[in-house]
Amino acid sequence: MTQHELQAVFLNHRDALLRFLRARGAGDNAEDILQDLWLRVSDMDDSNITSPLPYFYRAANNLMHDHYRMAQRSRQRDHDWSDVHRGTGDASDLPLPDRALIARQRLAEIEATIGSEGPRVLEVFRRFRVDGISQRQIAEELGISLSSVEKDLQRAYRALARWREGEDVE
Amino acid sequence: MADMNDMVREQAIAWAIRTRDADFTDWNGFTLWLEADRWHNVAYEEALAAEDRLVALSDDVASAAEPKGAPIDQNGQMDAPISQQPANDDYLLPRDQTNRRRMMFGALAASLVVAVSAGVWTQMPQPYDVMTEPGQREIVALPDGSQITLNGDTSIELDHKKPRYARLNRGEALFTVVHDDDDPFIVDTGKMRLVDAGTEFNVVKSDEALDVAVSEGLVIYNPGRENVSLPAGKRLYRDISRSRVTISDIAIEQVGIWRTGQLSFTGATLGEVAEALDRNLGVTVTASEAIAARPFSGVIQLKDRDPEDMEPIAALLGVRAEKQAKGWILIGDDAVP
Repeated sequence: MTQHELQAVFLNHRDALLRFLRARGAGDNAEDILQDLWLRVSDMDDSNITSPLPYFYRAANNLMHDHYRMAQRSRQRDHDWSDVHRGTGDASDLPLPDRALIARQRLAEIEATIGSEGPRVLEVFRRFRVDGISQRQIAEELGISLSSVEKDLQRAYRALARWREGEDVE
Repeated sequence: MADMNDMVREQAIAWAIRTRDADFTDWNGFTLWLEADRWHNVAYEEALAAEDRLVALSDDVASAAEPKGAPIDQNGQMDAPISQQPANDDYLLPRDQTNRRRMMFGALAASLVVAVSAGVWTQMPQPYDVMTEPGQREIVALPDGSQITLNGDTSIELDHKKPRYARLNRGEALFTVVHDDDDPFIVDTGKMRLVDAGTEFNVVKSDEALDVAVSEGLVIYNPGRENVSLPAGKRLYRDISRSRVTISDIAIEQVGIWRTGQLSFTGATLGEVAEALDRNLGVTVTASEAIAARPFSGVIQLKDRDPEDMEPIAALLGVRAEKQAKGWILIGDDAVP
């Protein structure tokens, strides 16, 4: 895909991408974000982009998620700051090895939570989320239907959300 | 989020899974779903947030395993490369860097996110403050149709991501809330929390006290702790220094009456009256220490009043007003100037 072709795709779908950004909560900044997105893409080595439109969408989607995460994190920092002053410091203040130890425990908890949905659910989740394999490939690999893979993943994600809510309550 | 509709949450999880898939192409369908309801985007982010926690934990483990590895998450992006082999027992940990980076959307999309992270986001909507100067009023319309009317000298913190939440840091505000059983409107002030189970209530937050009056519906004060229900016509007054909560009656038409230019007090201290004058008139009004604790009940009409003429108001309060370099001070009748 040449730079020229890439640009053609971008311009042809500009409105749809803007609409998507707004639906993802970009508000009045949708235009700016899209412009910035294009500048970055046009700077990149584009020879590997084989299907540009899904690529643009995905990048836009990641951008929005990245923003929400950063906003969340800055709120978390404010929260941690007040926690320190109340004398109930957060795990992020701990030295790295301690944090790693706690993280390992938490991961074991998550694994147990997802695993309680069944061993296949955990395996499907790991292949999908950790190894980055598509649902279609997982279905072929395990010799099960695509909808089974989807159902397994939904169970895994529900379990993950449950675990996270439990953690927040602590 | 316990208040999120289960069906929406299920759909959000399904979309989170689909959009994570490297093969996903139905971005139009996803756009339509997002547009169908403004909560869909919030629910989608919630679904992704659960994954983020998993990634953050993996990062903690991985960075400890090789402290000299790649810097983690400097840009607040989720796919910082990790360059070590995790132990075999870490079932959920990435097996190698390639897999790790492919984990969500492929290396290219990931590196794109790194590149774009900074810059644009400084202009993005985020948690935001609305503040008024003394004497100024402001009406904030929220996306769900709820409305917050800020009195003068008031500071409130809102959040685009949590449209049903407000933190009143200082001053006075009248909340006219579109009620939703599944998603109550929450107002925090200091360490205290108010949850709307109704529609209209007024909140005053000063350094000394929290004063809540309900004119319509029901408000819950500190659910999970004191858990006090305040129906319409009730007022809750919490003295902060003494941690004492008093519940009394209030005439519904008196709630938020400051909007009409009237100030109504029942057993308020002159210190609080001075603060209210300050907020509403836009001039500095303080009460001298000697009289600040004196009680006052009554109505002060502020409409068409000249803020430069405090004496008539002071007379109503049974005190004198003295002009100072900056604003007014209320002093006792017998005080020596």
